[in-house]
Amino acid sequence: MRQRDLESCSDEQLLGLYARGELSAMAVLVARFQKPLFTFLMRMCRDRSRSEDLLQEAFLRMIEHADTFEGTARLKTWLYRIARNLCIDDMRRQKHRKHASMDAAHGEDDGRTLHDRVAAKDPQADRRAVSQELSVRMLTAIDALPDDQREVFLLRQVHALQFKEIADITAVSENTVKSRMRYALERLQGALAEYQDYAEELR
Amino acid sequence: MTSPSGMSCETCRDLLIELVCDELGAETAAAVRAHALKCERCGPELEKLAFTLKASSSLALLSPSPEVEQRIMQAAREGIAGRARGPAREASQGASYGITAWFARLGSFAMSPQVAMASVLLLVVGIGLYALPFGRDGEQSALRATEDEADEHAGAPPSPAASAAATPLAQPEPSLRAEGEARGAASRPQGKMRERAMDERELLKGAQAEKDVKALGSVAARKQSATADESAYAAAPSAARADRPKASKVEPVVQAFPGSKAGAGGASAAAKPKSPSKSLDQLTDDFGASASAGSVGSSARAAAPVPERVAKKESANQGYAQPSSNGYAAAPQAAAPARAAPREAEVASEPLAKSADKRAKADAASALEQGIAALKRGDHMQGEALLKPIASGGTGSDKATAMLWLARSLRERGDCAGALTYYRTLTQAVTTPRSVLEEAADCHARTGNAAAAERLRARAALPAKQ
Repeated sequence: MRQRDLESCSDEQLLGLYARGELSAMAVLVARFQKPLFTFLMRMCRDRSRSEDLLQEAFLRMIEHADTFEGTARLKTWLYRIARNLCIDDMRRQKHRKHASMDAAHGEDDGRTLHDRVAAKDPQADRRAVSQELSVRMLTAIDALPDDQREVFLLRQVHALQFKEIADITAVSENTVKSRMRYALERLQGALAEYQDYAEELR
Repeated sequence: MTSPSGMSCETCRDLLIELVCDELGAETAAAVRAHALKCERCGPELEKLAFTLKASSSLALLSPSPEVEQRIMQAAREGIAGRARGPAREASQGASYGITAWFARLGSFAMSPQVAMASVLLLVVGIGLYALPFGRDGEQSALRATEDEADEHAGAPPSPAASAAATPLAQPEPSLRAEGEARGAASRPQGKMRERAMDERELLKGAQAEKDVKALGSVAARKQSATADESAYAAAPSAARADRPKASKVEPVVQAFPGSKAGAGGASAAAKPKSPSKSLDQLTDDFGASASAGSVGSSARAAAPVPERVAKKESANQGYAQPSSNGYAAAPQAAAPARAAPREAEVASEPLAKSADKRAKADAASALEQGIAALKRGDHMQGEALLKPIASGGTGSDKATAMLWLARSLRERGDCAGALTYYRTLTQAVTTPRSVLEEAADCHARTGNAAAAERLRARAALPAKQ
């Protein structure tokens, strides 16, 4: 099947094609989900190496169970549920590392530490600096969220999942998901309050 | 606060999160927006939520390293290849694959926590049931307890065979030990109830002896009364034994070893004419009748001369032991040795203190019996020498019996002062027999203590208490 046709297929169709031996269908699925999933895992685990391992494990499980996927749930929901469960298990094992390390590579792809990011200011570009500061503050505030609120916030904001889908993934009611989302936003408001006026100016 | 559209602030605030997340229908979203525009509280809150959501939506997606994608795709290729190979491999492996899979499933089931818990539970229940006194061990321990109880209550010196089986000092012959085991094994099915029934029958038969036991202030005087009974009627020792619980263990031996019937017959034949055990009072009357009359000689009171009685007793004892010996030799399949081994192990495992206690009791009973026998045949010196340690250091009915025989012996010899040392103790009991009170009064009178003699005679004149 041609690449264009594959990209127009739904997630479930792609998995079905892979189960029938269409390797390129899996390539499309990986391309579709690896960044959002990795972002979710990174924001939850706060460790790149572990997040990559968890991402790989989540895809391997999808590959293993491609034959038995019944299509009663959306593939996206199923995949995120696998990733979330893997993440929770990993977080339980790594409970002693609660806080972001100032020495470990943090966040984005450049591999710079949080200390480097905070210290490296570009005096020539205030706009960029403020944006970067806001981003750093936002990441810090997201990291400070409780796990249940953070996962709801990330699933909603990073992956644009519906409340109902998030409720399926996290195995709680939809109202609980809404409450957690609201609490998460209120906490982030407190962290970003001083930037609100400035951010308005930057629009 | 309610807006013109009819929406309250509370409802609006509940819907704000859904509004900013585009989860509301068009109509509801318009109503919420309309309320928020006019409301001073809900408007700013909507702005803050929208700003926070917008700021967070600028979070960049992160990319994993390319190696991760390569590994995933490699796994996907292997997955396709594996699915293609899968059915062919299963077909080629055939039954062994199925058996392997079956064992794998069985192993996973066997290793499950539920199975482990159930196994532990079964183990605990099994151990508990084994430990409870329902099984064979429990019956054996009950039997042992009954034997001990019977020994204590009957108090009779065990027959040679029985004592040989019971006391390690006696170093019993293997045949005797086998007999003991055979007796235990044969009487075991009879159970504890039969032992109890025999005990009660014995109690009824020895009612008079019981009376004397109470009179002497001893709870366990049945033992000694039976001893005295045996000694006085040594011509038929087996009869008393046949009436006691111990005897119930002899019968099964005879049944189990038919070859021993001839030997046992002599003993049982001698036993049958024997009347129930006589009371201690009667015995003391037999012994002390002449003493009360002031006569020392008492050889005529016994039915047979002492040597003859002793000889009869010994022969009876031989007859008691002989059958088992013969029976052991004549046992067709020699079942006894097989039973003897656990019995030996049982005896060996008995607590040392328990066996020592038994041994001491057996020794005391033997000394008491010998002492009484010596007094009966007129050998006061030997009899008193044997009984004095028991009277001074013994306990319970043994002590009381020894004191009584000693007191009467001393009184017979005219040593009333010496006799009174024992009579004083004996007459302290409220229910002291009349004959003893009179004897003590007589001693007091002879030693010049008329007041004490009068008091005792007055007590003796009182109606007997039941």
